[in-house]
Amino acid sequence: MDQEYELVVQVDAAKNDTLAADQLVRQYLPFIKAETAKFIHRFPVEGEDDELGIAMFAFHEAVLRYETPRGAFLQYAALHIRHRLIDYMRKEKRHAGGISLESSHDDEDSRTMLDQLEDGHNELTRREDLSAAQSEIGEFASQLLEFGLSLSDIAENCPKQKRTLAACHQALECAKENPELLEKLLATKRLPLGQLVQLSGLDKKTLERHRKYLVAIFLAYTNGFEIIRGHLQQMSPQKGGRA
Amino acid sequence: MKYLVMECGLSYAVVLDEQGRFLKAANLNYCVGQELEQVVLLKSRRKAKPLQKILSLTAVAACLCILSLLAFQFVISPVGTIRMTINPDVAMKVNRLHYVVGLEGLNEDGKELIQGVDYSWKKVEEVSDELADRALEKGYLSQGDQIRLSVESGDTEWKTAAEEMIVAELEVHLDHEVAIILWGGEEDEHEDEQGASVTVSQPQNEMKPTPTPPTVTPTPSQVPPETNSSAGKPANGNDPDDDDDDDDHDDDRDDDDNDEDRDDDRDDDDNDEDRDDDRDDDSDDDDNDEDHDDRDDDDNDDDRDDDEEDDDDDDD
Repeated sequence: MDQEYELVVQVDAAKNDTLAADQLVRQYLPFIKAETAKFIHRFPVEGEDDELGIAMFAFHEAVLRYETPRGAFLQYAALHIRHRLIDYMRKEKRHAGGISLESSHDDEDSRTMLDQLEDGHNELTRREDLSAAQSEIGEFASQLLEFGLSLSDIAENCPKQKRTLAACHQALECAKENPELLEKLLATKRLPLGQLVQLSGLDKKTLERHRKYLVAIFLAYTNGFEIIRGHLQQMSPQKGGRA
Repeated sequence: MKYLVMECGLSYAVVLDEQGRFLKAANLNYCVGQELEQVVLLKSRRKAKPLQKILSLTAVAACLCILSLLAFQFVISPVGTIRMTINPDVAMKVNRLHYVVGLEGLNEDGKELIQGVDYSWKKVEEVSDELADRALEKGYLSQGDQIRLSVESGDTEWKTAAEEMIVAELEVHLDHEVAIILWGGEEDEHEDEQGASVTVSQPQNEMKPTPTPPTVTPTPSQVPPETNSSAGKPANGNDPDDDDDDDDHDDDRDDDDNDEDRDDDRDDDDNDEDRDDDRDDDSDDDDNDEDHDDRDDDDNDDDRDDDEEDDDDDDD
């Protein structure tokens, strides 16, 4: 009973703390593995089985969504893991007809189709690109830390509605047209919200609610994070955001 | 949609999609900087939107309103009509719960009788008692007279219950001084078609305009035709049908009695005797009594049969 109460307290604490939730997953990894094993009928191997990744994510999700009236946490988490695994298996079945690039063309030939594919990207180039991306993202994350933000925080603060997202993009366009806003952001480590509202004419509350997200995307456009900016090709200003 | 892995935890990964959204996804052995085509995203909590809440509440309220309206309609709508004929002819529309929902005078006296009667939220017993009291007050009804009741309804159970209830109520209320007679709807219609008299208290109507004894007494031979013509009320049957012998006889008898009453008005003792005679006549006319007699006869027959059977058994 005490253990259950302690667990509920831990879950409550981890609701708004991604790292604490991750730590709880680590703590309950044997339980998660046991639940996965019930589903795949074998013991899952960490780092190999996607099902285990899904189960760990489902446990993480259960921590975020749990409320006391839902009953005992572990029962709720077990049910959530099972549902997530069922969803994943269904999704996988839909794509079962396709041929994997990583499967070999011939049983005797050990080379996969991906190896035989000539797309101008050899393994070395890929590794270099990955390394460059990793260093750039590392730099991005460390600069965000100077603002007191982590990428998990930004993921939680990201706008969910299209209209709000469009408003944030409009604010970014406004900042790109007025580089002094970006300079001020870097100098003061604070978002110049008043100036931004004045220049963009957007609703102050909308921008204020998504302050963390705005800092992240403004930062991506200030210091020349080419890989990230290259990834954000489709980001374009849309109508909306005015309340 | 392509996703760029930005952060990797044990159980989650933060990915950046091409629209600039930072999202949490399942970490299926990803590493930072990796580009993905598909990810398993975090399911957002389903919170009922205020509009949805309002809509659902409105729908529930609307359903409740409709249900209560239907129930109200079911209860309030008239399920039957109770027709009360003294000489004033009155029809009461009654709902399922025996509350009066409509009151109508079917002849002039009836209209006069119901004037000022407040029947709202009153049960049929109360209204019928009130009508009987008013009839007594106004001289339409007196001791020894009769009230005819007919109950019409599609619901036979309700009809039976209403008949029993109202007869019992009126008998008790009037202290058995007035005979309460139940008439079937069909009989009533039949009588209406023929224009036959349905009330016995016709002489009372004549007395109504002249409550004080007339100074000039008409001769007995002239009175009956005058009474019929002066009443002039359709319910009283100004042109009695020859087929309806019983009623005619009754009327004649009553008229004769009344004439005698008028003649002997000053003599109280004689008058009392006449009233007693009237009562006797009424009781003779009572169909129910006759029915009871019939039943008794039947019972006697049965008894006789039983006796015969017993005799047979004895013989055996």
